[in-house]
Amino acid sequence: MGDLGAISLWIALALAAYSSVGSIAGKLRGAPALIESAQSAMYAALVAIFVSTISLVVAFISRDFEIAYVARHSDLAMEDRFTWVAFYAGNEGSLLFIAVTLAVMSAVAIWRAPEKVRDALPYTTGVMMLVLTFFLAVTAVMANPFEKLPFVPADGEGINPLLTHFGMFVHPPALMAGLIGITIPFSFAMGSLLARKTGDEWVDAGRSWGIFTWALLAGGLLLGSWWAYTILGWGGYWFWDPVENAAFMPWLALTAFIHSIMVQKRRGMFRMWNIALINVAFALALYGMFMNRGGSIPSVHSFGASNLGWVFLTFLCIGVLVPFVIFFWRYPLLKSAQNLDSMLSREAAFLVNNLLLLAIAFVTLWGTVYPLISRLTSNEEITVARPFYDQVNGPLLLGLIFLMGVGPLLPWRRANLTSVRRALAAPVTAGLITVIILSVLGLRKDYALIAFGLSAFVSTGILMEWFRGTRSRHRGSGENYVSAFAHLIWANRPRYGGYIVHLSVIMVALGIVGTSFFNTQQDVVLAPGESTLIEDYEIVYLGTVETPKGNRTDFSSTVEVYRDGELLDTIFPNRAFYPSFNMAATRAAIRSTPVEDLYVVPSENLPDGSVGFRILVNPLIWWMWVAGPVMLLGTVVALWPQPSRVPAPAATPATVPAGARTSAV
Amino acid sequence: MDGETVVAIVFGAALAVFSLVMVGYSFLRGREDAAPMPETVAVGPQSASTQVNGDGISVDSIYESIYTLELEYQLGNLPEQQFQEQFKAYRLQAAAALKEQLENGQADPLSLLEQEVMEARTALQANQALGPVCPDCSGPVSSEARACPHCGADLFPQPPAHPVKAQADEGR
Repeated sequence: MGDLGAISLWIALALAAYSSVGSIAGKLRGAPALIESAQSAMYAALVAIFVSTISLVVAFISRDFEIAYVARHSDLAMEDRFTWVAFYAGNEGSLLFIAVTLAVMSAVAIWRAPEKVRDALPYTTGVMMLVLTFFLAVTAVMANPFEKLPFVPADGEGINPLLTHFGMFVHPPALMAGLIGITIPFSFAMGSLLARKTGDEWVDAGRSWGIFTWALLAGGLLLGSWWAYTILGWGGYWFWDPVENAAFMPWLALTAFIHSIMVQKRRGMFRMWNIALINVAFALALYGMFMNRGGSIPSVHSFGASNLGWVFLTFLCIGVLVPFVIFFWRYPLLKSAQNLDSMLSREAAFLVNNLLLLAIAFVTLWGTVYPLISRLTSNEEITVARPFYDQVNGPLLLGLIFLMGVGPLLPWRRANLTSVRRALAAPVTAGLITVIILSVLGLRKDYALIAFGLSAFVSTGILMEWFRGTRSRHRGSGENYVSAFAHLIWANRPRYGGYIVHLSVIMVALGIVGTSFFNTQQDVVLAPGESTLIEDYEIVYLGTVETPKGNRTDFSSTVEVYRDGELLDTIFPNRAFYPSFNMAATRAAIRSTPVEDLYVVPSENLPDGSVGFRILVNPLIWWMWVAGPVMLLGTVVALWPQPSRVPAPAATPATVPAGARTSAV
Repeated sequence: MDGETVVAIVFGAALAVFSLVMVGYSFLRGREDAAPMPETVAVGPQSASTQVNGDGISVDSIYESIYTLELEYQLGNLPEQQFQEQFKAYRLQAAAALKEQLENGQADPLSLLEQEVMEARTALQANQALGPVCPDCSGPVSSEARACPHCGADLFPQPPAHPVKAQADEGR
């Protein structure tokens, strides 16, 4: 299958290059047949990449060790379900994964493109296919997953043990898809600029694809944190590692973008700003991919490293410069339809939210590249660690949460102080009451108090909106409360989907605050039968069973957890040693509740049967993992297609239930 | 040459032929049959809602804004006066957009009707301020009237001028 995979990869490359050149040339020369042909080439490229992808999957399943990539990332002992992970475990496969993802997204984006962007579509296709051509060219020429070995080894090297975790089935593909997915809204923006469509034509497509890729990145980041928490054995979930930051920064830029694009959609404002934002998001995504493939900054994600750094750096430079050249070229045409009416309006709140998000992104970028800068300027590498990010980004993130509570309660265009006071009265009261109660209970950490107060403030604002809307529908239409609530959400999907996502962000914030300010850690060596105390838990270590497996030796310990002398649970922290990788991989045993996690991980197995344990109590972290599905739900609700508000005759605005369709006239 | 290589070449060749057919089909069909340039594609009159006004804002967006404004008002986030001011501003904006469509010959009958009603309502509101209107024809009625003097619709029992707002106030 290797030969077929390689042949189809080259065919895909030729088709993508043709599609890119043909689309743009066809538009410039006014040749409709060429444009149509180039678009067909895009679909044909997708078929060819699919063939290539299937070839690699079949090679893995059949353990075709003649193919170097298969030999490096699988062995006979590997279970078939890990084929999916092995596919992108190395550079070559992950590049092919990125290419197939981009090809699928491009085909869907062009196929489902709104009518109003039709004029610009050849340029949009051209930009998408240009990016695809780059990835296919690098894959085919410099990192070909179908390269053959001069001999066929009896067995492969096996899959990296750190990747044999459920989180790895979703975290890397979600992040790769999210990073490359930014190409789609970016291409719509560039296509519109090139076609001189400098109004709001591209906004709907840009918003939908922006939210979609934002959700992919958010899901990928959360799952990556969960993976780190359960498998890396240090008890944390975020390290401010350069590669983590590389995915976090475009997510921040996209968060800014999906908010400010709403302002353009509603008011025709921020047209320049949105183009600049999507350019920044695209540049940061390219930077992320560069970091992942040979960036010169050390990272815990070393298994993704390669010698392709300079190629990606070149593409990054082009990807930053060219879009901004196009932006400044079309700058005179990018005029907002309206001006900001008042600083006390939702538009203004979005603007401040954008500035805060970008500030966090650039602080993170600065911290990430600082080692490189220090090496260049002083021949001494100075690494920026967590205290820097916490001190600088912490207050900015609190500011963002505050805006998350205020923004949705402000009307578009203009608010007056009386209405703002009324809208904010209940949420502010809830926030203050939370702070007072926590202070009375003895909580004395300022940042944590503010964060809990703000969380209560935001949640109350959202819940009150839901309550008022539901009550209004209930009274207006006679529906029962459950049905009224469901209809309210369904009739206003983008708005209430956004609220659900905001709630999930608050849940993440609770987890971060709980673990950052209130966690307890203990490193202890226990012999069988010995116990230790942490918080109000008593941990009793009973013993370890050693089990040789095909590619590793498992050390499974048995630990009993008591509270007030009562047995709560028996947990089994695990440590496995992989001789072929000379690497140990741990699996923490976690007793998780909404209040706190008890986290026990074996860091060392000693010859006398003793085990070195790291034990942590992490308050509120449960909320962080539950936030993932909630965020997904909110995104689906927000993205679910909503038909246009067709003006219905007769109804007077104020006499219909909240969320029902009304007449524009 | 082993069997696997032959299979790869055959399938590869088939893929190449498929790709060539896909790419060449547009040219083979001949220029007359080929799809016209996107900007000249005859897709029928563009839907009224996707048209844009002089500011470049689509009528769709204006409708969406009006809808949101109403929702904010019903949720109690906007006071009456501010709601009416903004509602009027959006109506005028929508009327201007529809008028522009009319002048460009792009409006469909529904849009024409919409525009007429909108202008009439705007004028009416300017004259009537916030007085009660008939729920059927939107004509002005006195608050004591039992039937609409314009269309004869039964106004009994007289609904409150803005019941949802009243309910929202009750709840506070």
